[in-house]
Amino acid sequence: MDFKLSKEQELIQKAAREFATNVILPLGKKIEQDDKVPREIWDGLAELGFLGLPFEEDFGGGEAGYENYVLAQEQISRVSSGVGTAFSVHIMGSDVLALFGTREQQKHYLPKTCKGELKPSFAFTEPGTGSDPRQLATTATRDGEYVVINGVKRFITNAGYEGPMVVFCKDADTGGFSAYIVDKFCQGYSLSKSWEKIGSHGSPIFDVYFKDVRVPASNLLGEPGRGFDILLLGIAFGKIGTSAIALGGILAAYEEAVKYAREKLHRGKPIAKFQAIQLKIGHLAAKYYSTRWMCYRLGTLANDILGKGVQNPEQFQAEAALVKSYASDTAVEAAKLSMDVHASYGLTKDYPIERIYRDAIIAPQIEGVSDMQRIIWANSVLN
Amino acid sequence: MDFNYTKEQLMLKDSVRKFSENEIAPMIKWMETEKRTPRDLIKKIKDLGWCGIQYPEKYGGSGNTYVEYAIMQMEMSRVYCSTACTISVNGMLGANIMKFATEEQKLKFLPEHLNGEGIGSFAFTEPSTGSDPGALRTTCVRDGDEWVINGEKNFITNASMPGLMGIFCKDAEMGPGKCTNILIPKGIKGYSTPRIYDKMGMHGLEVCDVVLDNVRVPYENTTGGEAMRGKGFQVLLGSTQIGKLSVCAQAVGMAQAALEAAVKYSKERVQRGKPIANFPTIQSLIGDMATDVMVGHQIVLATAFKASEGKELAADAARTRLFTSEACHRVASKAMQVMGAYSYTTEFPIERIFRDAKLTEIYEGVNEIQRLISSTDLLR
Repeated sequence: MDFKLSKEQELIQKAAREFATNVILPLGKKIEQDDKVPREIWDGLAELGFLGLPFEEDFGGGEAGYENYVLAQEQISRVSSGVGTAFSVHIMGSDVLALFGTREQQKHYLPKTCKGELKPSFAFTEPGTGSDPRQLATTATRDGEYVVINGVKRFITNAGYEGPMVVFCKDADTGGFSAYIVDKFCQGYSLSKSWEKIGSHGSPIFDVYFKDVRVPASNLLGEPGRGFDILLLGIAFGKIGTSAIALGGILAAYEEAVKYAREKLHRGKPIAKFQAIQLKIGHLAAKYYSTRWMCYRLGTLANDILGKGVQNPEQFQAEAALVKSYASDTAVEAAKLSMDVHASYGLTKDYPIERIYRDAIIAPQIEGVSDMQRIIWANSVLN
Repeated sequence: MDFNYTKEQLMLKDSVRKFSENEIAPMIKWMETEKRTPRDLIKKIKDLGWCGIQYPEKYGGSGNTYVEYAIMQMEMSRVYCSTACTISVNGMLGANIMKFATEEQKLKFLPEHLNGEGIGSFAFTEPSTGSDPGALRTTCVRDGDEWVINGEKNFITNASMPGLMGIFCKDAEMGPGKCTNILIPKGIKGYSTPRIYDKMGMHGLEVCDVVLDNVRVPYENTTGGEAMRGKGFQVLLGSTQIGKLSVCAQAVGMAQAALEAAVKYSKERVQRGKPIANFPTIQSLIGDMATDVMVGHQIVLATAFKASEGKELAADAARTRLFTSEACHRVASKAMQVMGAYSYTTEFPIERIFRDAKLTEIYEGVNEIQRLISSTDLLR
């Protein structure tokens, strides 16, 4: 057992914090307004090696272990949940290629995703289903050496960037459930306007339309009919990022509360001197402390999966469900506590807590609502 | 970063679990009724080396760290928190001696304290003060080669059992508000425990009032010797953090027990033809409980690790305590919801766990104090 950051981990944390503070933060307003991650941020993330952090060096990755990704993601999401989410989906899309792709598929995509030239997406949700694969309506129909994909995918992140999209489909011939790699913006691929949403600005989500999209049959990801395994493990890996984004939100809520409490005066002294405020900040600190090790731990568990192959991922999936629901629910509580420290000023866009509060509510709802996570985790405990 | 138990830690966990189930569990009914702890049970635990787990071998310890200590505390509390707490108070006094005593004192007191017949006590609280050293009324007065101690202490754990006590006294000679910590053997002339408290729970824990009437001990029993005279407050802070770590581990151990009880019950209890474990409402409760247990477990280990490194612990211990004690309370309460009316009967251990759990939010400083401590450094 060792609850310490290594030298390398400290360096990554520090680099991410500096990048977040010096590069992302000054662009914060622009990100919120344009609902886009500016080019220089993507370039910076690539330059720091963050876009390929956990992946093989052969592909230009850092082979650094997912706990390092969590450390970086936490610091980035501290200043922008939007950038954090785009980054998270980038890694998650790369994860499924690294986990299930053939060597050829990996060689084709990962070197470019690690450099940020391509940005992957992960497309399961549809207008008719958020988590039940039996209700999928997107179909893949075999036509010689090709499959033809038709359907609509909903709430897809990074869909507006060039790159591979992992698309879950029902196989028209067999009724099976498989995943295919589609190059975004190929013939027949089109996008809706982005959804207007409560927060996580900078990371727009789209509906994606597939009209007779033809991809080589060799673009099948993993085994035919085994799409469910990819979905479950892919979502579990996605929860590493979602948890780390929530952790960044908690850290931000906590730091902003401390900062505000020391600045704001009441009856001639900073509100930090009042016990009512101290109680809230003490509680906030405890929330951060209780969440961070769970998130780092989830990262280390993912290393075992990526390193040792995809056998018996159930424990990891269950723990990912636990950490994601815990971190994201805690982020909402932390944002509320911090907002209560800020009071009226927190409602204005002059203070970051206004954004943090809006962003916090997102994580409990995505990648399976918190209620569902609790049941996944409970089933692992009950069995 | 490494979140895995070592082989040795797993073995320790396993042997504490077996001992607790085989040796402590059969005694619980007796302890709950008699409101005492059998002296030979303490001796058995000492013989296994678990009172000295976190101390160097040269003082009679087994040379492990606070991580192993926390593992032992969690496993023991899973079966019976009172016994774990009895042991942890011994540990608090041990921590004081280890941190502040002179080398000579360590060699003199620790081997017996960790392995001998008795069990230690830590005596700060008085009728008029729970955490303010300036308000102490128990006095120590130097008389040649001896200390003369007079006063009253209350809520003192293990005071009715033989062993060593670290006592905090107002030391007027050193100036106003100064206090000194002195080691006294319990039961000596002038020492009495007129009252053992009856309590809501933790019945195996003997908590007493202590009266000190012209108690005389050698002057050299000043913890840390002359250099530490008048610096009792430092001593107090040094070990309450370890005390707090113990409470956290106890809270997680009890929460684990409550979770296991609810899981077992939910798989056995059949409604509408199927076990209630199949109902999403029950699953949701179990999921929440298991989350609290898991998070609590991790942060206890993280804080124990920090303690082992000798790092400043006040804020982390307060944060861990805040989370784990609230989690323990939540989990015990939810377990009762899962188990319904049966949970309220003494047929099931959960009613005891629920009563015992409440103490974790109170002792070693109520949670409101923990929140203030948690924010102190940040807002300075």
